[in-house]
Amino acid sequence: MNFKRLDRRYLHLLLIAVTVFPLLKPMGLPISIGVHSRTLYDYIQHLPPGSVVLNVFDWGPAQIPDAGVGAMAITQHLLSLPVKIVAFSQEVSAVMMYEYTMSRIKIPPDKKYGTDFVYFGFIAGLETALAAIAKDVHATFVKDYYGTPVEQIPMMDKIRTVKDFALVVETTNTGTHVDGFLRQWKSPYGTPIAINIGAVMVPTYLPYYPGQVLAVIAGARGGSEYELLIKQPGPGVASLDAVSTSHLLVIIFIAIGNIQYFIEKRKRREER
Amino acid sequence: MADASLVWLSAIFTIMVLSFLYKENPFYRFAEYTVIGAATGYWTVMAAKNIVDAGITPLVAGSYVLLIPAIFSVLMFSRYTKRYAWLSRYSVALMVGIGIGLSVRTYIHAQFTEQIVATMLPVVGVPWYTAINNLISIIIVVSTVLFFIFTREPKGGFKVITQIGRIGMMFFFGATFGTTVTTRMIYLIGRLQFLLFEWLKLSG
Repeated sequence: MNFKRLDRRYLHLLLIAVTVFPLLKPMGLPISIGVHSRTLYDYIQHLPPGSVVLNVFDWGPAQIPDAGVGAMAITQHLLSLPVKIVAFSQEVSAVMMYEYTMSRIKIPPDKKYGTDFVYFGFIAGLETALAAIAKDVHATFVKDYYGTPVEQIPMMDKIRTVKDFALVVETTNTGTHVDGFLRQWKSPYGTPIAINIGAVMVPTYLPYYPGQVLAVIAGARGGSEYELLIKQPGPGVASLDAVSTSHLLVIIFIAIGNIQYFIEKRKRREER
Repeated sequence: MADASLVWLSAIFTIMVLSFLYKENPFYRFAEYTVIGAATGYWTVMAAKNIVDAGITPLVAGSYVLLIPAIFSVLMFSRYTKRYAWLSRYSVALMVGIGIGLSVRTYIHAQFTEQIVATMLPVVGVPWYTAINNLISIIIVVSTVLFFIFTREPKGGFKVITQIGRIGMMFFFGATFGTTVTTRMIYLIGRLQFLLFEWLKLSG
């Protein structure tokens, strides 16, 4: 059989089949907890009460099943602890992901907007804005997303500069956002930074661990581990069986493609 | 009711996009153009909101210093006229200058010095598997850097070292390709989860 002439639509059909099946009938393949998820979980778990965490939503709708899994699990974890969350976005499309996240996770009844968590929406300027926030939070976060001036938000009273933040959690699928925090927060001020990034970015940003980033939460896999750590398995955990079967199919077809290539090469050599 | 109709709308558009897997068709095109239109509208509104919140409102309230960036912003629009297009260069120069100034200030430390420090890993006094990992890391970093030395012809021992660097880069490209496949698969799985569980309400 010549696979080169195989209609690719059969592959698409097969791929959807091997993906749908484990979603409907989960196989429960084991998921081990990696060092990055464990490190970030422990770090957040041991934050002193009243610590302020900058939770940056820089992911769009496409990343819901990828970096979004970790973003939701980490936000859920932060809300379960006596820490304060300041959130904002450097991406316009990420604004709707804050609302998506808050509508999907369980906000404890004792947690109040403005007292325990706040969202400042889209802040333009990327690295320039990060440098400005580090120096003067109130000058950059003038109003929250819902239009309340920063001076009227109770929890913002004591949050003035980068020094008031115990941790930054940056969820993104764009390297620019991570680079900005490394250059404007980590390097000059030493603020601990954890990155929750799309799987595609992992090879690029893994070299920054452990020197410059606290942990690299790797897409759906890292997010699923975090779901297990907070004992709230969600869509991330449910997707991992399908990830495994779809990858297996890809590996099989890469192997078939290579075998076909070498057979054809041999044939050509023999014909000569 | 509103939620249900949104789920249906989302499901229909997901299927329209996935129909491309069969072949190019008008439903896919319609979904594609709709996304572009909706995204452009969303971006425009958000950008306008940002200008009002961060610029106009504080300016009206008395922060007259904001007139300076406001003037530079207006100058950007001079690009639309041939005669005054040169004025926009002042705004671009300002943005480029500030951007480079800010990043260069800490770039050397964050992404050069710190990366060198991160490569200086111990190979003794650590568990054997850590020592092997560290040794591989050191060899690959050094040989990859040497690969980009073009002033010396790769011959003999130097050629061997640069080839090791090349193999190291191939590992990186392979890992990047692998994680790209993972990401694409996850996107597909995310949409299938939505169709199966939120739209069709099947149980997994």
